[in-house]
Amino acid sequence: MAKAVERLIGCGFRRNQVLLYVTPNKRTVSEAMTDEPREYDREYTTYSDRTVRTRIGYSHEKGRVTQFVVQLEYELEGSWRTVVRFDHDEGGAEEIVHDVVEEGLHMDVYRDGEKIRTEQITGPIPSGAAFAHAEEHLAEHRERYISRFEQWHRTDRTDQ
Amino acid sequence: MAQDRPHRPVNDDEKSTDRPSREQRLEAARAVVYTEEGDLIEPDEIETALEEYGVTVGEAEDGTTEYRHVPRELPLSAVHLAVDTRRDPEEFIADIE
Repeated sequence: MAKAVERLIGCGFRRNQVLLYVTPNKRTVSEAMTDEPREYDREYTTYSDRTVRTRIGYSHEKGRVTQFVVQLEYELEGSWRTVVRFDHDEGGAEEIVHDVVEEGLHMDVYRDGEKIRTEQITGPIPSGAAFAHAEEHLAEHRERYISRFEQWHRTDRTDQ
Repeated sequence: MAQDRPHRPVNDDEKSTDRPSREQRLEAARAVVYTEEGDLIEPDEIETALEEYGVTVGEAEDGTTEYRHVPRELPLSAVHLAVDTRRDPEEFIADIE
C-alpha cells in the first residue's frame, strides 16, 4: 500500500469514474484512460475502417516493454468509445494496473463508457510477447467485438 | 529492402477468416525490419519500410502516427519493438491459441 500512496500524485473525475494519476517509472497513466493512451515512448493508431480504430502505445527500457496499452475504439455519435482494452504496467500501483508477467494478459470489456468485466486472455507471459499477442488477438476477434458493441449500443457502421 | 521481398498482403475479404501462421507473421515482420544486408533498420526508417510493404502511413489529428491498410499478416507491434529494442521480431511474436 505504501508503494501505491507514494506514487499517487493526483486524482480527478470524468464520466462518473474516479481517475487516479500515478507515476509508474517516468510515465503518467490512469485507470480510466479511455480517451488518451498518451505519454508512451511510441504511440500509433491503426484504422480498420472509418469508424473503427486501434490505439496503441508502449514504453520500453533496456530491451524490455515496461508499459503498453492496446485499445479498440468505435466512433459513435461523434466520439470515440472504448470497445476493449489491454494494458500492462510493470511499475504502477498494483490496485489499478496489470503486470502481464505476473498476472497474464487481461482484456477489459467496455459498454456504455464503463468497464463491465475483465477477461483473462493468457497466463503469465513476457511483456513483449503479451503486447504482440494483444494485437494479434484483436486482429483475430475484432469483428466479433465490434458486432457485440454495435448490438449493445443499437448501432452499426452503415448508420453513420 | 522490403519491396524486394516476397509478400502477399491479405485483402479485406480474407481478414477475418485467414489467420496467418506464426511463420508468416515472422516473415512479414522480418521483411520490414531488415535491410538487404541483414541489418536492422533504424527507428526513423520504420515508416518508409512500412510504406514499402504496402501500409499507408499518415499523421493523426493528435500528432501520432496513423496506419491504414495494414496487411493481415504484418504484426506492427513486433516490427516496432524489434527496431526499438534492436532484437529479432521472433521474440515478440507469440503463438496464438
